[in-house]
Amino acid sequence: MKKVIVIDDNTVSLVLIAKILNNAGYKAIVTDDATNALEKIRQEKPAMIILDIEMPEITGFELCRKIKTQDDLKDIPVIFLTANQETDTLVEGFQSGGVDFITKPFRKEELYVRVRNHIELAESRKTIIEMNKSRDKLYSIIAHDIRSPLAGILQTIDAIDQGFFDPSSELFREIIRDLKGRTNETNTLLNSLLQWTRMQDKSVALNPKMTNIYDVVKSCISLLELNAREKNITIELKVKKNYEAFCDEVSIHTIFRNLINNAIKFTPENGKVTINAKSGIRYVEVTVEDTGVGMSDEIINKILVENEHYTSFGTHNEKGTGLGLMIVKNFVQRNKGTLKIESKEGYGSKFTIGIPALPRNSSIPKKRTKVTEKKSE
Amino acid sequence: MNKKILIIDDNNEFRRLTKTILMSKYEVETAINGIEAFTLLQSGYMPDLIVTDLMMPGMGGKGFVEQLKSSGVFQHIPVIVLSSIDKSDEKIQLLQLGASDYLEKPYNPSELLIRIENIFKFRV
Repeated sequence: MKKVIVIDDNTVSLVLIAKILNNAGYKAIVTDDATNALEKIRQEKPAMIILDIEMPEITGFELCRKIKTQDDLKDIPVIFLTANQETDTLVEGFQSGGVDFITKPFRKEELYVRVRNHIELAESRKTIIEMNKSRDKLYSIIAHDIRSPLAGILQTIDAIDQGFFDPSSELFREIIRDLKGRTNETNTLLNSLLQWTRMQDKSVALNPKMTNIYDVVKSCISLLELNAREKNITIELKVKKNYEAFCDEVSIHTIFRNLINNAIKFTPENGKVTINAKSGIRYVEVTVEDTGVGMSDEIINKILVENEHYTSFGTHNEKGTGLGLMIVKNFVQRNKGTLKIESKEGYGSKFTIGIPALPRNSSIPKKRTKVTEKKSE
Repeated sequence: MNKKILIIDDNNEFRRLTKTILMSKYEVETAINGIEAFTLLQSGYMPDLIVTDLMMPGMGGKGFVEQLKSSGVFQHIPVIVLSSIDKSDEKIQLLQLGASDYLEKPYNPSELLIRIENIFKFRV
């Protein structure tokens, strides 16, 4: 319930306004003590402040100005109560930071509407600021994740251009494979990003249907086979050919492509990536397991717990797991699936994706979207 | 006799690329982070110059330069720092710690070679 704090030296007025606000569904907090108002506001953290103007110790305008100097309180909208409708008063009120006026006597509907409108406005503004912050963080992560492989590509091409490699040598062929790998990486990232952006537009519907999981996984593996072979990594596919699940094929493809790509990237030479599937009543569970470097619990938590407010992984991780996994998590949620991450540093990681086995409105009750985390010993 | 250069970088491809570039003129050894580099140094390997990346797990470039330049035996070895981060205060910090030069990745291979050559030519 949203709180509205009312400060007025007239107790009759306070009681009246409190009654109107309470009836309208707000929690009214009243005080006639204007001098200690700041503490009270800070304590209660209301969605709206209503101030009387003509008060003995401090006027409403002065109090408003004081409130606006406080970083943690300045975004709370302030409405003034006055008996005076003169223009000078109005102007001074707005200049001191108020957003609206209610002149006494007033109708209760008027109070209600003005309060409601300004609370909604303040909330929209707050949401927009938060969204912008998230987006800015996302942009810097993207820039970083794409910049890395591109820097490598540029450097290698420069070196080839300047004649550091003998074109007939085996080393040269290796370098070319390097280039291909990194270009693919950047391409994958950009494609995932494009998809993710499209999916943020909630009006763009996913196209969920019964999808053959074996086919999707197999297709991802063929895309990434070369990368694996270069590091002599074995990919073992243990998914039954007839496993089907209800999901949007394109986004599921992106999920597996990202997971398998990461598995290969973070597994040292001669390692192994295993893809397994298990068919359950509610979900088809597909696991992507590697014998790679693993992840710390801290990083797992960051992926699973910190949602829209995506934080950077710090210096250790400029290799770009960040964006890929964020996309995986997002896509899993959109497909009403589940995600579980188990990992041990130095041993490997195991990602388990649960995809709904049946369409949503089937007879078997569907679980709500769930994202869980479990640490392995 | 060719001068010896030690390359420190945790990224396989980058390490190999830089090694190939430097091998055209110098004898090159590599390490994947600061700790491995120190192990090499303490085993008796004395390079004439060190090229190090900044971001590495374990001991990074900054820690390495700090330690190197405060060690009695190794502080005379010139160090070039490579980084993919474009921050001038970090650059200044590393130069203050004693790095001889600081290059941003991706670097122009010829530029790296010339800077190394200059260090060898004009240093006593």
